[in-house]
Amino acid sequence: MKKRRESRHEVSGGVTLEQLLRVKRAERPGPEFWADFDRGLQQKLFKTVVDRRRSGVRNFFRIVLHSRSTYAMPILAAIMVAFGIALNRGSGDGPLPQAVTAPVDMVVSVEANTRASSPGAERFVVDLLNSGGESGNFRKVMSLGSINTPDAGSTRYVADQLGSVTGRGGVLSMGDSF
Amino acid sequence: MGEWSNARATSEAAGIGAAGQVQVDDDLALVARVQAGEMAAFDVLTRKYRERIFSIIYNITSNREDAADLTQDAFVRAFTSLSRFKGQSSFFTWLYRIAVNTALSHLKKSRMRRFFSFETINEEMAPGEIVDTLSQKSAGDHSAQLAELQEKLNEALQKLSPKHRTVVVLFEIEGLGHQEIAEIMHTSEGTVRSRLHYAKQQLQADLQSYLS
Repeated sequence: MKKRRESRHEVSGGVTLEQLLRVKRAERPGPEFWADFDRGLQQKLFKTVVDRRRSGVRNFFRIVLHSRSTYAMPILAAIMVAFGIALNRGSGDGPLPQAVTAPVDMVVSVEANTRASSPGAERFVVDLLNSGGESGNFRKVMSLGSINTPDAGSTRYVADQLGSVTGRGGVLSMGDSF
Repeated sequence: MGEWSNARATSEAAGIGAAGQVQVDDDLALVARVQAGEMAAFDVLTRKYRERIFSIIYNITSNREDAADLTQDAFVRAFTSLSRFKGQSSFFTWLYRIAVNTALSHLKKSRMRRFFSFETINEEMAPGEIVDTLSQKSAGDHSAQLAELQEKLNEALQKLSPKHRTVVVLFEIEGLGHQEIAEIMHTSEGTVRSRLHYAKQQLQADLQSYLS
């Protein structure tokens, strides 16, 4: 009781409730807290992106397998056959890294061609075939096209994350990984 | 300190000032970039709002460790829901709503086991008038006096219901306007005003000994 009375005398004289509440603004964590915070957030975002990818693939197969449609199994079989063929071709006619060496030019030229000269699909295919002349061109464009989807950031994010983990001793920082 | 006054300035009623409008536009541009797949833009948004989001959640939960976790969770929720953000409200109102909901649902879940842990007050940031009053009235240790004041203040805030506390936190500590708080809490402006009035009465009564 005595202590309470002392407090009353210590802090009084023109102080309003609003001013008193403003003391709460001074309760702020230091820079080391934010370093830990960023690291934790980074890991949670990374986990979310990976989980989303996994559940996306899982959901796709679940939908196909549980679908009552008579076309479900043939579609799944076709996808698996196409996947198998793609794998075989990937290992057979030229190394895949080569396809990644000049992606930007190729997409730019394809995009430029489609936008500027030919709105039609025929012209697009012709341009596409003319632009490289190699058998692997379609595969290149398809893989690059898939990176340009709205979810592409996630893919790149995961790739960067894996790169930063393996390449730089597992240290993740917000600025680096994105 | 300026941060909070800016927040009040940008949010007060419908009269968003030029600076506030630029901020809103900047956010929308960043959101559009994230929606287009540019993750670095989300990094910018995180850095811009993390202190404020942490402060809201911390002052609602009164636990710094929980607040850190919940702030991260709020940002993850924002990230996963960003594709559904249509720009009908400003980004920070939307983000604040996520933060408040995250904090309130955490409080609901952990009603039976609540622990408090507080940040230490940064004396340099404490309001001048409080520090002056402490200096005038006593020659003792300011840190100890501020710590005691902080304890009483937090005790008083804890006596309020989560919804009343949230309104006080958003208005008095974060500096938001009534209309914006109403938008964040999915309620009417009148309800916000009445909750604020009631909460302040309670706080006045609890902190009577500290007020003139």
